[in-house]
Amino acid sequence: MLSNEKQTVDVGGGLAELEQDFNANAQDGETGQADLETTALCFEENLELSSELNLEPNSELSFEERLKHLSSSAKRNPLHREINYKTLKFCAERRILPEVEDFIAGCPEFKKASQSPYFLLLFLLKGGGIDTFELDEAGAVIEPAQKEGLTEDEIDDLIAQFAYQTNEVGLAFVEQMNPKNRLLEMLDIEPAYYETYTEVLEFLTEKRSMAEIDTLLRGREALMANRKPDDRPIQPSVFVDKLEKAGGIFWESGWIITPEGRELLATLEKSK
Amino acid sequence: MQKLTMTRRSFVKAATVAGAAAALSTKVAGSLVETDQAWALENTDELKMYVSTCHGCIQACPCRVYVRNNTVVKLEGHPLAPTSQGSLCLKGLNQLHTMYSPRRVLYPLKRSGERGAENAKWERISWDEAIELAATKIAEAIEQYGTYSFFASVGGGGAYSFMQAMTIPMAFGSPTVFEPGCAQCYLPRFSIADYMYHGADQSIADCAVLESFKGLAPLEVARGATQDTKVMVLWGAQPSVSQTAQSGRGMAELRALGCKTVVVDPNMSPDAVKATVWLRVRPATDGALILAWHRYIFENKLYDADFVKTWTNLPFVVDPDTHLPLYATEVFPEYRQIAPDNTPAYVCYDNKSKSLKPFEYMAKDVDPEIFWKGEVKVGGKAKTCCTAGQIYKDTAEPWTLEKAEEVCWVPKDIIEKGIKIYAEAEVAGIANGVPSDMQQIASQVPLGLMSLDMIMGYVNKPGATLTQNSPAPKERPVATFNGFGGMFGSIFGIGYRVGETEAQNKARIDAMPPGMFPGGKGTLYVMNQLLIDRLGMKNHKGLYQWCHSHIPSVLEAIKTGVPYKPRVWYDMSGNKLAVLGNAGSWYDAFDEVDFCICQYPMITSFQIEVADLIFPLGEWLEATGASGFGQLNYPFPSPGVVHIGETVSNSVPPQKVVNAASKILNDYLAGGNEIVLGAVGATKGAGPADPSQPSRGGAEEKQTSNNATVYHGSKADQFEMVFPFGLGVMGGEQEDSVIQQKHAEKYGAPDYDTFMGDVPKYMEPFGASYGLDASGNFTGEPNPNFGYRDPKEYWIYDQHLGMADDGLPAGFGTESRKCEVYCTLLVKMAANGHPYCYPRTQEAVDVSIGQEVKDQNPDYDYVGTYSPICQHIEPIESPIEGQIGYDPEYPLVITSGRVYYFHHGTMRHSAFARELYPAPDVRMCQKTADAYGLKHMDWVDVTSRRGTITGRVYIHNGMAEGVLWMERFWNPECFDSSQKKITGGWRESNINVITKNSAPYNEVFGSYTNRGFAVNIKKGVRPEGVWVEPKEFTPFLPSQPNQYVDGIGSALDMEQTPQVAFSDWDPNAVPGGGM
Repeated sequence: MLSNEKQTVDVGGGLAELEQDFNANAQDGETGQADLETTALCFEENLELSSELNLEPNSELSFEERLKHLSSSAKRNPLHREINYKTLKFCAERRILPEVEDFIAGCPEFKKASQSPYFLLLFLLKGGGIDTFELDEAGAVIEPAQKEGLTEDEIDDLIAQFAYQTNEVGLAFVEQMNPKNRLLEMLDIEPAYYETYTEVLEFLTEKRSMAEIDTLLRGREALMANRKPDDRPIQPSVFVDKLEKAGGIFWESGWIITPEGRELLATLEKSK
Repeated sequence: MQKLTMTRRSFVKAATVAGAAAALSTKVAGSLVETDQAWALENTDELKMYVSTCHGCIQACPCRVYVRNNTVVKLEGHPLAPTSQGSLCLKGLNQLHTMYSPRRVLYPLKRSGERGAENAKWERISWDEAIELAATKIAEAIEQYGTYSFFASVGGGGAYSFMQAMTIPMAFGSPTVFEPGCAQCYLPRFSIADYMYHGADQSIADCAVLESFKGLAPLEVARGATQDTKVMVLWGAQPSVSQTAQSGRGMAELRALGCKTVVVDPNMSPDAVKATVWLRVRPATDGALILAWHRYIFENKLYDADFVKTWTNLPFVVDPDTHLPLYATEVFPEYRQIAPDNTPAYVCYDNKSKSLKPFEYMAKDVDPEIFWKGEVKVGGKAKTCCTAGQIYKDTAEPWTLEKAEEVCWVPKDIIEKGIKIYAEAEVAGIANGVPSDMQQIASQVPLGLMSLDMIMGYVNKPGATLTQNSPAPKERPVATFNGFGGMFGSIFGIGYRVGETEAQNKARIDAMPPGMFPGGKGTLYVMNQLLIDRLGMKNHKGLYQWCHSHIPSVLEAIKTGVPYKPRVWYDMSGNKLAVLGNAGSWYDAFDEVDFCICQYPMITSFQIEVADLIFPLGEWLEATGASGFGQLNYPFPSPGVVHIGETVSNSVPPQKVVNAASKILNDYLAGGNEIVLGAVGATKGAGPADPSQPSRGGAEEKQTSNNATVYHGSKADQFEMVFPFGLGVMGGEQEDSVIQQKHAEKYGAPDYDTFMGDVPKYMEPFGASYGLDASGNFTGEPNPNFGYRDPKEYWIYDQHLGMADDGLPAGFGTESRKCEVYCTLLVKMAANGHPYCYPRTQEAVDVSIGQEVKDQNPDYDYVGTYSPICQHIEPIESPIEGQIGYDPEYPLVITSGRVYYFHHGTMRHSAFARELYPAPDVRMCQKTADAYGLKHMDWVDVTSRRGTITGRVYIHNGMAEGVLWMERFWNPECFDSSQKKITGGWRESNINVITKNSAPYNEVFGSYTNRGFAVNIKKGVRPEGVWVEPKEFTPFLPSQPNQYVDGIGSALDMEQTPQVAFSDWDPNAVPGGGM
């Protein structure tokens, strides 16, 4: 196994330096994050919601434990992993339900999803990464005091809409899942395949089929190198899997690079 | 009118009688009849009776099924069954609880929430939607990642779909399939027998050992069958528990007839209790004990010298460099053998001339010495060589009775007594159970136990274990490899035909249709490449035998994505979390599975935790042909007698899914797209998308019933793809009506309705008219529709002595044509994969193979290859201080096995069975319990390096000090809707949470360690959610509504589910009982 040291030689600089460059690029682009204000549900409401959703109140958990819980929940199904990340990122600003559902349905990854947008949202809620709000006709958050003395029907009449906003735990998850971090981590872990990864990213600046990627890579000596004594040579699909999992590429009738993948390529180009 | 008596209490009583009595005494049918008659006689005119074979375990006890108002109301053993003779055990009787369990899945279900038991919500969907969803998910993955993204699994108990699971990945061009059994259950014993003499193995449970159970039934005795088994060794086998009504009953009958038994088992099983002598071996030290048996037999010349010299390869002189027997021409270059080239001559030391001689098959001019060591010139180089017999003797030499006592914890006089009973018998046989398959010594133990029967000459003789129910071959026997005993010989890769020459094998390949692939033969080349690419095959080539992957390697590939990522999973039976070693490591991998399709009759931990889609399967009583292999020479039928919900037979969903996915993929190809077939790379479509279209031209095609092709048209530089690949899904049909029609025809009926309408004519072995004459003799003639085989045609011996068409005794299907006690095939296999995937030469196993054995034993000689003979390997988690792997934190050793009540992972949802056995016992002796402050029935935490589980202390002094025994378990009550906290029920008491699925593995088969590993214990508490009180199991009674109503939602029409009013606390009648 090659060391990180080998990797830094390959890319012509240290990883930390690379990351700084990447962050600099990111701030200019889509991956920058807004300064967010979050409003948590009061504990009683949280309990009520927990009851409806079979949620465990997590107020007694530490931040790290809540993040771990969310991470576990949001990564439970690979087909939903990127959607969950994107939804939490999208809901960094408060969004009403139709907006969120439309957003989820519009994600290219949603074509492969095995659940409806609402269910996916519900499980982010259950995972503790997002908060929900009841809004009145004017779009204002309904405070508990407004419900005092009202009948159930009157409360129903009061609620015109639901809104969702990623909370601090969800935002931490978004940061954790930021493709820039995942891509850099991947390159860090597997420096031996650095050139192959970047070549595939470059190749996927145009939409390609898996067959085209396979044709590009099959027969390469890199694939023949046994990683462990009992391993077979690796299949070209390994690079697709890893790059997809790192948020560098996605499928939309073909494999294509993500904006974050492009930024990484640009960063790497600069660092040469 | 009399009330029915099939109450909870009478069930328990009847079941206990059937189970325990069948195991421990004889002639129990009377007890059953007495109970059953109470209601059956009174209601006969209202009942329909069918004949079937039970599928409560992997044996098949013939039985009668009574149906009223389209509901099965009663099961009983069939009185003409030749071994079970009317018995049916707990597992069989409990099939009613399985059939009508609230845990049944009766409709296709799609998960409607996120994965995890705590989130479980299901939506009922139509079959068309379900098939389309599965097909779409598979096709999407194949389009986007290539064919290696699909994988399948099977095993775990119930609804077996072995053939479908093995073939469905190939239909999609993927090599990945696994089964928790396989390398951990039966593959090693089955394969080693195939390698050593191409004959039946020593497994009772898997119905390989049949000879011992002939001539037990009076009916068969009257027809000429004799009982010849006078001595039997049960090595790690407990038929009284695992196969109670069939071979458990058979063993009881054998003992009653005076058969002596030697039982080798760490656990005091009922068979051990009744044994003539019981060797209570320390778990996982069987190799040492077997070598001690060899040493004693060699030293005291108890072996059959004539058989060993004539019919084994022990007199062959072995090259110490290659570990292979020397061919005569290697030592005598000018020598020209007389026997055909397919029967090579070797080298022996001739006692007559006191010199090395060529050793021809059936040579009369030499007297081969079995034990010899001396100098041999090979290719001009002098080497010190030994005969294979000498090698075995040297390996066994350290294993005196005293040494065996020290290592195996069996007193030397007990060992000696056992050996003498076995070796001094005129004929005997060893039945080898599953424990060694679940240990690192998975190949070493069957090598040793087969060897014992062979050196004793207990082969193809009346009363021996190693017998075949087939006529003597008329040609030189050959063994075809790849797949189940060669079943897939030239389909899924080409197996070398052992017993033919290289030239003959080459000619066979050359005669195949001309493919245009580099170095190979079109599709067959690709099939071979698929097998070679299969995960874990480089080091564990024995897995080729059953077309299965190495499970830990699959797990690693799912987790890491390397060397390719299996991502869409089609599981075909059981609770994987209950039966896979180190279950937690699998749970952690679920996050990397894109989509999980399950088919099973039940909701288990596995389905509730991870399934995204479930196809409902029929239970045995619904599925025609589910268990249609009968008992001995009686091929009893297995009709589906009732049907509930929308369940189907196990072959239906995979056939439909493959067809639907193939259409999507072929359309994709037809659109000019390419798909990556992992074995070769990008492939274009071969022609019309509609697989029903005729030949696509090009190379020769062979159409199958599924319209798949064996040989696809191909160009010189481009493999052309069409789905399904190869032969498609093999086994079964895609419509139950076709399965039923074929089953009816098998028994001579024109159609299924006619078959079901005339039970005596089609289902009874002796038709309607049979009985006893005035003298008490059986009267009746075999039913011509039934397929009964006369004892004289079924029990056949001395096949190897029959003359073949080359003028020589037929011999055995090995290279030497003899019993290869020194298993040369393993040495060749380790070097290049022989005999699998011919003509491809595969990589040798890694040089590290066997190194850990060498670390223990400096004299060990098989590093970088597979040992051809039995060896002792101290378990890597040894309880012996000073041994490699000893850890004082884990000072105890634990092993496991079955209990009467359950088979594999089945039936933990059965209320009555759980009443009898609510939680797994942790058996230990009083001294062990005292050392840890434990009392009988205390809850106890058992901790290994992998985790902690909780069981209940069961103290009995049959256990050795420091040894624990526990049955695997899971707790379906943990996800009952009544629970405050829902869990998957697999972490609480499941021994597979603490088993070891990491290296070292068995070298040949990659088996991991489910038994014989180190643990610690301490007093525990009852796990939250686990039920133990009888009343707690009420939700599991068939009278309860399906608890998934809430989860499934209103779409599920529960009115279609029979509400079987099984009697409970207030004894009521069996439904429809005419009270």
